[in-house]
Amino acid sequence: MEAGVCARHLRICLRERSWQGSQGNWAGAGIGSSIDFQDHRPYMPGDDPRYIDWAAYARSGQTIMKLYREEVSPRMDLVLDVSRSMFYDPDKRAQTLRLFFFCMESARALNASLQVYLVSGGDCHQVDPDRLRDPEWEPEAVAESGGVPMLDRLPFRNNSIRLFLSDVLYDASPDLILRELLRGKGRGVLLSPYLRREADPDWHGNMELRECERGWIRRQRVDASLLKRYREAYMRHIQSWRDTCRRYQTGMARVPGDCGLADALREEAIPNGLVELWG
Amino acid sequence: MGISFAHPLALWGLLGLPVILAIHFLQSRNRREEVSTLFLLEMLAEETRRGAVFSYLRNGLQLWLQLLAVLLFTLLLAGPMRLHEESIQSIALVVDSSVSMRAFEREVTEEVRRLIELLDGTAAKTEWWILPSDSRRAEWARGADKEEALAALNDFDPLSGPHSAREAIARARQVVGPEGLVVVLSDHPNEDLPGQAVPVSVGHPLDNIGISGVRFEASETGEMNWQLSVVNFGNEVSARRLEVELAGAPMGAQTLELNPGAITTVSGTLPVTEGEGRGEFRLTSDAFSWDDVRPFVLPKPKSLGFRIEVDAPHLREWAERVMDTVSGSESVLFADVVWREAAADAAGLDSAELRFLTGKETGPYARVAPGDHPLVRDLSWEGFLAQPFLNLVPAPGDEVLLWMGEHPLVVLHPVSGVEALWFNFDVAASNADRWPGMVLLLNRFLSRVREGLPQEESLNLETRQLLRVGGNADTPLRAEFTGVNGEVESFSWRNRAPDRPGYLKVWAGEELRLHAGVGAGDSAEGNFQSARPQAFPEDVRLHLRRRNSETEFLLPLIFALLAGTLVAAWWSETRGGRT
Repeated sequence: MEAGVCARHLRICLRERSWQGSQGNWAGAGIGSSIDFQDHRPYMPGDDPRYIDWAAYARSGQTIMKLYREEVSPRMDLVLDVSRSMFYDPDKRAQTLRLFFFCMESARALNASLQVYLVSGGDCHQVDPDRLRDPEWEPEAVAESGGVPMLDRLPFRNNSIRLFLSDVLYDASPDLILRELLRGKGRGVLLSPYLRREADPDWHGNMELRECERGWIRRQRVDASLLKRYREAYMRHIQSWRDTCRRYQTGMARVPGDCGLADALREEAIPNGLVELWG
Repeated sequence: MGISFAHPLALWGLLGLPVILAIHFLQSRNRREEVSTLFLLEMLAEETRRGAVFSYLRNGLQLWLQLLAVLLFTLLLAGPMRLHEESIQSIALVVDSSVSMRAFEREVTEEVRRLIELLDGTAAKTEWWILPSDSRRAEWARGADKEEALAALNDFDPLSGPHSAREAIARARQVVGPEGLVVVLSDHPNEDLPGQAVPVSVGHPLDNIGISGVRFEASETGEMNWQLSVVNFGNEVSARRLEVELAGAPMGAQTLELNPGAITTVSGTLPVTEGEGRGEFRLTSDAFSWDDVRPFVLPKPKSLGFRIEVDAPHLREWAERVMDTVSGSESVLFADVVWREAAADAAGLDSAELRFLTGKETGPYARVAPGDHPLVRDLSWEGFLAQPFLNLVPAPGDEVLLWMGEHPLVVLHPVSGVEALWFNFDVAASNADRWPGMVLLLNRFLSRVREGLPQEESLNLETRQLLRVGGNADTPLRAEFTGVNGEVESFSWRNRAPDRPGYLKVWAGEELRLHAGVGAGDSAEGNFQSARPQAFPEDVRLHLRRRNSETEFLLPLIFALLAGTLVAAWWSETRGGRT
């Protein structure tokens, strides 16, 4: 519900580049039939004679092509990390789902060609977006293996925008994942739900920590020193993702899980230009 | 190094250690949480997965400081002390030498060994004295080291009857000095001991049954009737088998049913046989076997011949009445003792005399005062009425047994090897013939006369019973003792029966004068109902240890560590707050 409300005012920002796809509302990479003038050039054999600028031919005697920008519907590949870490906490789960459906609504509003993938470790599933409207659908039901998402197994479309929803909490190099996310001239957007207590937990004393994906248990005495080092390690981990995203020109925004979606998007996603106001 | 503690009870304070640990662990029980970032923690923490407890102990500086503080505080309260190398002490163990201790010989040995081990560590050097509580007996060990003291226990052979340990305790206090320790080891608790002696008891209640006495009487048929009394000191009805043996042959047996606390009298008849007539009564043995066997001989008392030479009817009647009560006495011409009326200056006879003096003037009634003589010892004369004849002056050698005022009433007058008992009052005007003390005095005198007779006699004695064997003073007496186990040993005769049950023979020269069966006397020694254990007080051991130790050698170190601990705890607290 909240995702739908947000989608009336907010949407994924697609203005930064040209897209390819079927005819639609967005500037394509090629010549199209929109009303936006793009360029003049000499007629070449094989060109569509409908685009010859007859007024210019009358003035100059040259067959000049008048080119208009192509308007396309962008291809959007939405990848949802359904590993257990995305859903183990009710707040995080709710925010993840809100974000996921916001992306879907946003894609629909943009008339984008949407393909949805659910990924958890090596398990990758493409799902019909219409099926996701089923209120009984539970994304974590397909999460089995967990761990580092194997994006190389996903059939991304060329020149598509890849919206990757993941908390990036896995012990793997961001390069490997982002490289796979961007293959085929795609544009990547990483929206990362998180909990503030993941960044700054209130652990103290003897803790029995259960890893949410594999069920590993670690009994650990946590003192102030260890907690401080943990916070630093968390920040380093997130920072390494930010740096890598910047290097790969991939937008990254963290979406806090313990507030409403609009407020959460206002924190990083809108300032970073990944989500824009419209309507 | 020999470190001990002045207040060992304070070591209970160490229980604070587990309490603190428990409090810490209860406060820090594992909190469970599901996390998504365990891989970050894995990279940080090098501890093992299940090392939380160890990690807690390793990292919990506050905990360690608290534990150390409790340890140090406990040490401070316990008061560690170290023996002075030059410390020396003297300890005397006065061991009860009563016969009753025979029931606890093993316990005595163990307790002495334990005490020696316990107290030997309270000084660098300890001198040990072990003495019997009966001061008439020789001491067992003196000034010995502990090994010799323990070896002296082999001589532990309690044979004394009821006696006071005061003299032995006083002697023990004398040898160990005012700073020494005197321990009295008995089989019953003693609370009121002189000389600051410390009581220890190894006894415990026993249900003992024993023979308390035997009596023989010749029957008219020529046999010997016996009566045996058996006492049950226990709290329950018990059955015992009694066997009678004479000259090595069994003479019968019966089972006795004995009520608690009751004395049961058993009787029977034995034939009078030729020979020594030795025998024994034997009860089923119990924990205190001392009174389970009663050796006896068939009694053959000395005969006592008497002659009565008095004319006054009341005197004659009285004399005959008295002599009727003396067993083995018979009226003969050549008598061993003569009743007669005569003046003080009348010539004496060859035999003992009971002389009733004559006179005319009598003195007034006055207070009767007995002299210090065995014949009148412990007899009461309060109310005795007699009027002394005047003018009797005791001769040198005479012993006045009774005085009335300044006039002698009864005088023991020795005459050429025999004794005469003079009665210096008018018997008819007195209550002498009805006065118990006078009857006892006469019986004692007659027994004294009989004892002095050089005749053979067989009788039954109790251990340590006093007895005079008659004979010529120039003829040495020789004695032989045979124990109930049949072992024969020589015995030094000092007018007293042996300490242990058995058979005794005494010869004067070559003539046998005495043949006796000696039974256990002092039957009360077999009563163990008041026997209770009493442990050596720990505070006395601590006092000794403290006196011989230096107690402050660790205090500076403990105080320094305690102060350091408190400072470290404060530093840790403030530093932890900043973190």
